[in-house]
Amino acid sequence: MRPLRFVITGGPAVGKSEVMARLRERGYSCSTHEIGREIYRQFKERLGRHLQKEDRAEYALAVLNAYIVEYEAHKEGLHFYDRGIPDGYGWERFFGVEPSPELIAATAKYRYDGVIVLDPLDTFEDEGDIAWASEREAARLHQLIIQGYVDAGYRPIFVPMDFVDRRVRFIEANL
Amino acid sequence: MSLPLTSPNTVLANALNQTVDLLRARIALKRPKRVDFIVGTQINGTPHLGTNLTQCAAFVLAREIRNAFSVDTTVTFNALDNAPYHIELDPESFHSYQITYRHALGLEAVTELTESLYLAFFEGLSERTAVDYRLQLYSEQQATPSFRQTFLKTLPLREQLRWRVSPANGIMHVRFPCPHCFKAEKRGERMRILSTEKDCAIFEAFCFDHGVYQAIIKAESDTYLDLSTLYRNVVKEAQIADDQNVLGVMVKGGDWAFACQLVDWALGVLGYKASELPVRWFTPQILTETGAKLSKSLISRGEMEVPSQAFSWVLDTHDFEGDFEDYLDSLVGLVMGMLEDPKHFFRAYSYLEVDRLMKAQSPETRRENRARLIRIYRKYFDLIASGKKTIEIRVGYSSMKKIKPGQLLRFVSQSESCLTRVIDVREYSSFEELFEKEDFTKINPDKGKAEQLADVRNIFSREKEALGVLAIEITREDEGVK
Repeated sequence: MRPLRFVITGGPAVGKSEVMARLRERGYSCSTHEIGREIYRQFKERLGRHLQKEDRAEYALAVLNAYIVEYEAHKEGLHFYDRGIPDGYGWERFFGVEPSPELIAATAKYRYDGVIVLDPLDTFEDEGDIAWASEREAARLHQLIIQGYVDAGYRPIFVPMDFVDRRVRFIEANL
Repeated sequence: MSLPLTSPNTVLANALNQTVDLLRARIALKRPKRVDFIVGTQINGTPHLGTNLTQCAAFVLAREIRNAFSVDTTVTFNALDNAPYHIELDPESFHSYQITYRHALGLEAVTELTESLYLAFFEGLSERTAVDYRLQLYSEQQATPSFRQTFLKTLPLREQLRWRVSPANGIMHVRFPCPHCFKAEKRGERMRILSTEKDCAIFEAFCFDHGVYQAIIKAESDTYLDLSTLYRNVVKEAQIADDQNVLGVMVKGGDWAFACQLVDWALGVLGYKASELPVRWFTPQILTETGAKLSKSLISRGEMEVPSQAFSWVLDTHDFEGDFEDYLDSLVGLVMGMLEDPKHFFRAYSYLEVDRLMKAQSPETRRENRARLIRIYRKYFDLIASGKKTIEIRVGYSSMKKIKPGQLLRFVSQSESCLTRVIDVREYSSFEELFEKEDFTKINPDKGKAEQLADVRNIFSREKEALGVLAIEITREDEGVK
């Protein structure tokens, strides 16, 4: 059976962890964790601080390589990835970094069968109508990630905000 | 006082003869020792008209309920110092982290800020209504054992509760600031409950600078407990419902009416019956010309039209024509006028209409709003109105002991009233002592001393007399009866 690769993605606070956990519970082959987070912690430990803009290129390359390894590790049947290679476009644009040639080449070479975007769980609005610039940044990041996949030639499936079980059923119905 | 306004009937207004009827049955059933009017406000900016109207309504309602039902009333002002002061994103996960006003500024500065925003306002309202109030920071409230115990009570039911307090996504925002830097994950994405028992719950949370930490919540623990708005209101109302001696009245802006069914569902999950819950008293919403709630934040972002310069005071009440005392008098007058008829109270107003109503009050009327209302039996009212009775007797409730020489008192009987000014207040330990030392003909010129003493004994019990008794000497301030 040929490999069938689906990416689950979205910006911060979209409920990705819960959806991935429920997919695992239902017996699907899934990423065990979000690779970028683990690499971030390794960088942070090495640098002794949070990453700055000047660290992003090196970090993005490390994350890209890890995604490629994860992509190639899956050989047969359905698999859900916790973010995918084209996520890099959104993150790099967010930090004002040009997409690297490696990212462009990898995006062309390693293609997924489907991209599933989880809609945000929150409107990022305050009941007092107070708008926090940082919260708007999170919403912007979500849009940049979507744009990255669209630019890479994908037509994402959008999963509305709902109970986790209903979101998983929605994903199953759209495979 | 009557305001020049017309209001249509509504279902609620139609069910009431007087606005205070809303509490009549609850007071009769619970027979509380006190009715506490609770009003909560975030402390993240200068209050606008809508906020002040709700706060003022709490005081005026407390006065009206005290007068109507002879029950002690107070106002509790919850200053929400858990409002976010700063939000930043975790550079790793991009989850939002917030620091509250309390943690960013510290207790002393938060208290100073709250007092600078509200102290003079509340003091002015307390003076005009003779209602005592207390200012309680959310930080103090969450530290009370009863708040924490109520919170612990919700945890075993969290699966059912979470869809009530957060129907969109089921996420109950519970925040425990990092013990090192006080940042807390705003939506609690990585908050986990490790264990829950009747008297203790242990949580795990994550700080992007300091890693994983535990938060232990017990009745007496120091861990700061921050809850999202609806969850906090569920815990607060459950805490108030558990108080057998006090009837709580949540005074809230009208926009809360839409949200309270979620709070009701959650309180139902916790096992509370509707009759046990605090009363919700929604105050009129202040709207723009389009019918949208007046929002200072949207105006400052340019997403809502700015009221013209003539109405700038609705956003910054310092701009109100006249001084601060004029503003308070007009606001009290506005609320009193709204309370005159349930149709006027249970509705919304455009800021243009509020401006008209505030400014329609003459300087004399405004001044009279400072007068304290005292309800009195008809026969005594007639004596005061005719100028024959110049000494009024009352027992020494804390609100009565606030009456001072020079203060205006408006005696009210049925639909008539009479304005007086206090000349002197003399306190005695008993009615016997009072009648020995005062000129009884000024208390009631038509009856003898012994007869009057018997009359007051019929009105006031010995228990109430033990609070002390007051002889309030008055003089007529205006001509005739209104």
